[in-house]
Amino acid sequence: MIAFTEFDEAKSVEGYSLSAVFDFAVLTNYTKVKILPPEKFELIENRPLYAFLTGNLERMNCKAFRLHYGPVSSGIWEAGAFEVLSYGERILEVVPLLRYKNRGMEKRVEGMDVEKATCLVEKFCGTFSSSYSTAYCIAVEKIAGFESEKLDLARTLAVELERAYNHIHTIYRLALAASQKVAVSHLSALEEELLRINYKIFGHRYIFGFSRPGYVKLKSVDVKSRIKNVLKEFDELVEELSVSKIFIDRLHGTAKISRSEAVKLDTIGVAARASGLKRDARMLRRFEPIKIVEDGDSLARTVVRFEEVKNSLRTALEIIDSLSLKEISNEVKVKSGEAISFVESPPGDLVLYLKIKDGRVEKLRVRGASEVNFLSFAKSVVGNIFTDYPFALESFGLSFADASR
Amino acid sequence: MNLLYFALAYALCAIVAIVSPRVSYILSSAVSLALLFNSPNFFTVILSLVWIFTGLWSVNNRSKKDALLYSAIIFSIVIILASKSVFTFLAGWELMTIFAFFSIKNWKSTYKFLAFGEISTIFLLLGFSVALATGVSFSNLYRSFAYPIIFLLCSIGFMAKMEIFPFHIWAPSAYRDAPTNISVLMSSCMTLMGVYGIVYLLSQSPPPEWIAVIMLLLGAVTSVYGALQAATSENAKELLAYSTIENDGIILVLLATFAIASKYSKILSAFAITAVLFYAFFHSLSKALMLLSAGSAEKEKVSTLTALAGYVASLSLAAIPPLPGFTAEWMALETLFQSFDLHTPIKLLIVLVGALVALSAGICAVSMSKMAIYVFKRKSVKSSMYSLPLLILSAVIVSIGIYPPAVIKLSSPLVLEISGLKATSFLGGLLAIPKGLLIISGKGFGCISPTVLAAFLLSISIAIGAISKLTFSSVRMCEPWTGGEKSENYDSSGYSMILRLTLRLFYGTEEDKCLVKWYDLTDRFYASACRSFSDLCDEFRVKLMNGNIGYYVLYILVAMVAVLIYSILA
Amino acid sequence: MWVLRGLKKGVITTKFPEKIDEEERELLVGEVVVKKTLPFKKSIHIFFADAGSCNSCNREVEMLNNPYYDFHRLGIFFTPTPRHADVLLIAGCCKEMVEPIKRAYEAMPSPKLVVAVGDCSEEFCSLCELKADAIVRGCPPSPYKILEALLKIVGKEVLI
Repeated sequence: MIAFTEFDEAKSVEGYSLSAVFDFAVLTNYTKVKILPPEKFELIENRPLYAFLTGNLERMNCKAFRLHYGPVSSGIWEAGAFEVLSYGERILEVVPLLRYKNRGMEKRVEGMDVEKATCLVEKFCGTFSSSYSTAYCIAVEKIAGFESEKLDLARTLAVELERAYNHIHTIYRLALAASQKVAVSHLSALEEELLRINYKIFGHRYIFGFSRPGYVKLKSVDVKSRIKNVLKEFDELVEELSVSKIFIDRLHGTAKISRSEAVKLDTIGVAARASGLKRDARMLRRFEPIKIVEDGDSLARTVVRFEEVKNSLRTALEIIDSLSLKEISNEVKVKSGEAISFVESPPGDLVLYLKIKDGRVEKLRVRGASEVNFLSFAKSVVGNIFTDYPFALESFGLSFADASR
Repeated sequence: MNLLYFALAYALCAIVAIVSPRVSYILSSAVSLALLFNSPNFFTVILSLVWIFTGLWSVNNRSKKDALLYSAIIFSIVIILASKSVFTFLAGWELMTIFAFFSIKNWKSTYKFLAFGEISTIFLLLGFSVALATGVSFSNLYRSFAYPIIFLLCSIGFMAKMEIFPFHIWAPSAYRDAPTNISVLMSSCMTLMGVYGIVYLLSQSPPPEWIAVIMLLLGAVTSVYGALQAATSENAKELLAYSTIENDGIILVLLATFAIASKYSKILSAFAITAVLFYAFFHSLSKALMLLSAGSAEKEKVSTLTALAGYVASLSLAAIPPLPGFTAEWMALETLFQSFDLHTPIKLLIVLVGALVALSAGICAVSMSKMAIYVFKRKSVKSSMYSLPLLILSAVIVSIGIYPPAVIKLSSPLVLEISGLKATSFLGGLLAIPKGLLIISGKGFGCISPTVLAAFLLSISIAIGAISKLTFSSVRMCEPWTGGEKSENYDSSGYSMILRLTLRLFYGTEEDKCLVKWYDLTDRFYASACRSFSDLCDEFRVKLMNGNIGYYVLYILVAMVAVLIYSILA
Repeated sequence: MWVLRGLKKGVITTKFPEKIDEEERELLVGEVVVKKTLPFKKSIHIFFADAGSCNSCNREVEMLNNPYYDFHRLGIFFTPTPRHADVLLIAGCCKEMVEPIKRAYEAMPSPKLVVAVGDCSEEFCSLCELKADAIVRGCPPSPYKILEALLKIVGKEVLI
C-alpha cells in the first residue's frame, strides 16, 4: 500500500500509528508517498477506522433497544451524542455521533492569508489550541524551509504545559465520577493554578495567540516556584489517590483494550501506551515514551497520565531554565507548497496537512486524535455495565470539538 | 336457601351455553346476584361478587365451549361449598379440575395443569381414606387419632391447588393459555377453594405445631419466590399468575400463624383469622379486576375506562392506600410481628417470616408498576360498554378500601365460630375518630383508620386542585425532555433486567450476545426429573422386559385361566 | 491525610464581588452586557448547553466549580436537566445544534433567561430565534466575568 517518507525514521512499523498515514493519505490525496510491498498491510476497506469514519459500523440485529444519550446533556459537558444499544444493564454497542460539532472550520480557512489563518486554526479545539497552532506553524515553516531551535523549545513549553492541565482535567473528571469530593477540589484548584501560570507566561489562559509562523509570544515572568509547587502538590495527590481503594476499584478492569485489539483498532496516544504499544508523535524527535503499561484498562491509562503530568512539568521547568522568556520573531515568507506535520496533543497525536498557493491557504486537513480514539472507546466499552460508562469515557480524555471540526 | 338449588341453576346455565353463550353469561350473572343476597357463608359472598362481574364482562366472548366450561366450573365450585360428605367434596374437586382441563389451549400447559390437579386430588383422597379408615366422617375429622396425618395429607392437597412452592409451576402457563374468564376462575375461585379447605380443617381443630411450622416456611418461600418471578415476567397473565402465587403464600403464612397462636392467645388467633378472610376477599376481587382489564387490553386498544380499572387494580395489589390492599397487608404484617407476644420459641421464626413477607410486598411494587406502565398504556379510543363491569368492580374495590369495617363485620360470624371472638371487637374509636372506623390490631399494638386516611387524602387533593386553579394563570404543554433528540424508551424487559443480572443464581440467567434467557428453576427441575424417570423406564423396558409382547399376553392369559380353574375346583 | 492537606493549603477562595487583589485584577478578561433581569433575588439554577463551541468556554464554565471561584457561596447551582433551570447558558455556534437547544429552551419553565457566553454565542442566539438576555463577550471570557453576569441578572450589584 502507501507509506510516508518520514516513516523510515520511526523505529518500527508499530512505532508510529498506521492510521496517521493510511486513512489520512487516502482522504487527502497526498501524493508524495513511497509505495511499500502490499503483503505487509491489510486492504484499506477492511480497516475499522475507515469504516468508522465513513459510517459503516456493524449493526447487530437483536431484541434490544437503542438509547440516545443526547447532544444536550450534562454528563458529557460537550455537544456530542452516543447511541447505546442495550437490553438492560449491559452495553452491547456504542456509536458516537460526532456531527453536532461540524462547524466547517476547514472550509472557512481556505482562501485566508497564511498568518491570519493561525488565529482560526487554534480555535478548532480551544483546549488543545497550542497543539493545533504548533502543528500549523511547523507545516508553514517546513514549506518555507525555515527551522529554529529556540522556536521549537518555546513551542514545546506551550505543548507540555497544555498537556499537564488537560491530563489533570481528565483525572479530575474520573474522580468526579467516583464521587471523591475532596480530591476533586484539590485537582480543580491545581488546574486553575496551571491556567493562571499560562496567563502569566503566554498572555492567555488557553494559550491563544501564542504562535504564528516564525513568531512566539512569551512574557518574561518568574513562575518557576509556582510550577514547582504544582509539581510537589501533584506528587502528593497521586500518592493519596493510589491508596484510595474506591477510586482504584472503579477503574480497574473497566474498558479493557488488549494489545492485539489496540493494533487492530489503530489506538493512538495515551490509550495505546496503556495497552503496551509505543506510540507517541514525540518519537519522531528522538524522544522515548515515558511509561508503557501492559494492562489496557482505565487504571492503566490513569497511571500513564500521572507519569506524563510529572514529566511535562519537569520538562517545562527545564525549558524555562535554558530559554530566556521573551518574544521571538522571525520573518517567514511562503509562496506555495504542501507539508504534513505531527504533534502530540494530550489524547494522542495530531496530523495536519497544509497546501499553500500564492501566500494563501488552499487546502487544510486535520486529523485530531479524538477522531481515531472514539472507535477504540466504542469497542472497549462493549460488555461493561451502565455504571462504568463514565469511567470508560473520561479515561480516554477525548473531545468532540477535536473529533469533528 | 340451599346451595344445591344454586348448583342446579348453574348447571342450567351450562346447558343454555350450548345454544347461546351470551344468554348463558347474563343468566349466570343474575344467579350470582341472587346468591350474593342469600349467601350462607363468607366465601360465597366473595365468589358471587367475582362471578357477577366476570359474567358481565365475558359477554363479548363468542365461544360456546368457553361459556359451557365457565358455567360448569362454577357449578362444581358450588358443589364443593355445598358438600357435607367426603364423596361430594371429592367429586366437586375433580370436576373443577377436569372442566378447566378442557379449556386451556396449549397441550403442554394443559397436561401440566392436569398433573398438579391430580396430585392435589390424590393427596385429598389419601387423607380422606385415612379418615374413613379410622372411622370419622367429614364433619368430625378432628376426633380421629390420626388427625395429624389427615391434616398433613389434606393440607398438601389444598396447597397444591393454592399454588404453593413446589406445586406452583402449573399456574403461569395455565393462566397464559386459558381464556380470560377461566383464568379469573382459576386465580380467584380455585385458589379460594384451597383456602376454604384449610379453614374448614382449622375450624374443627388446629394441627400439631410441626405441621404449622412446615406451612409457615413453605408460605414464606412461596411469597418471596412469586414476587421475584413476577418482577421479571414478560407476559401480563404470567405476571399475574406469579402475583397470585405470592399472595397465596401470604395467606398460607397467616393460616399457619393462626394454627400456632390458637394454643396461646385467643385475641391473636382471632385477629389472624380476620386477616386471612380480609386478605382473601381483597385478593380475589383485585385479581379478578386485574385479569379482566389485562384481558381487555390484550383484545383491543386500551380505552380510558380500561386503563382506570387497571390502575385501581395494580394500586390495590401493590398495597397503596386508600385501597383495600393497604389494609390487608397491614393486617398481615401486624399479625406476624405481634406474635412476638406468644410464649413459644417459634415466635422468632414467625417474626423472621414477617420480614420475608414485607420483602415480598416491596418487590411486588416492581411487578405492579410494570403492569401499570407497559400494559395499560392509554390510547384515545372510545370505551366500549364491556368495560362497564370493570368500572363498577373498581368502584366496589375503592369503597371497600375506604370502608373496610364492612367486610370485617361480614366475616364476624365465621371468626366467632372458628376462634371464639367476634371480629368486630377489633373495631374501635380513638380521639377524634368516630367509633367503628378504627381497626385495632390484637392487643392494641397498632391501629389504622383507612376511612379517615381516605378523607384526608381527598381533602388535600381538593385543596391543592383549588389553589392551583386559582393561582396558575397559564398552562403550557411541551414535549418530554430526552436530551435534545428523540430517544427510544426502555422496554419492559429492560425494566427488570437489573434483577435478572444481579440475582443470576435464582433465575439461571444466560447472556448470549444480545439475547438473555432466564427460567423458573423449579420448572426445569421437574422437566429433568420427568426426563430421567422416562429414561429409567426405557432402561427397564430394554433390559428386563425385552421379550416379544405376544408371549407376555399369552402368559397372562394362561395364568388367568389357571387361577380360574383352581378357584372353581377349590 | 486529606484534612491536614486542606488545612495546610488554607482558604484560596476569591472575595469577588466585594474586593479583588492585583493578580486577579489582570485576569478580568471580557465584557458583560445585561439586558434583562429575573424577577427574583435569591439563588438561581443554571443549565449549561454547549451549542458547538471550541471547548474553551465549556472549560471556563466548568472552572467555576473551583475552590478559587466557588460559585455555590453566591447561590448559583448547576442542574442536569432544563426542567429545573432558570437560566440557559449557551456557548458556541453550530447549525446542527439549533434544534436541540430550541427544545431545551421549550422544556424550561418560565421565568427564564438566556445568557450567551463567548464571542460566538450571540450569532447562535439569533440563528435560534432566541433573544439573548445577557451577553458575556470574550474568547473565552474569564470566570470572573461570567460570575459578574450571573450576579447581575439576579439584580445584585457588582462594583468591580
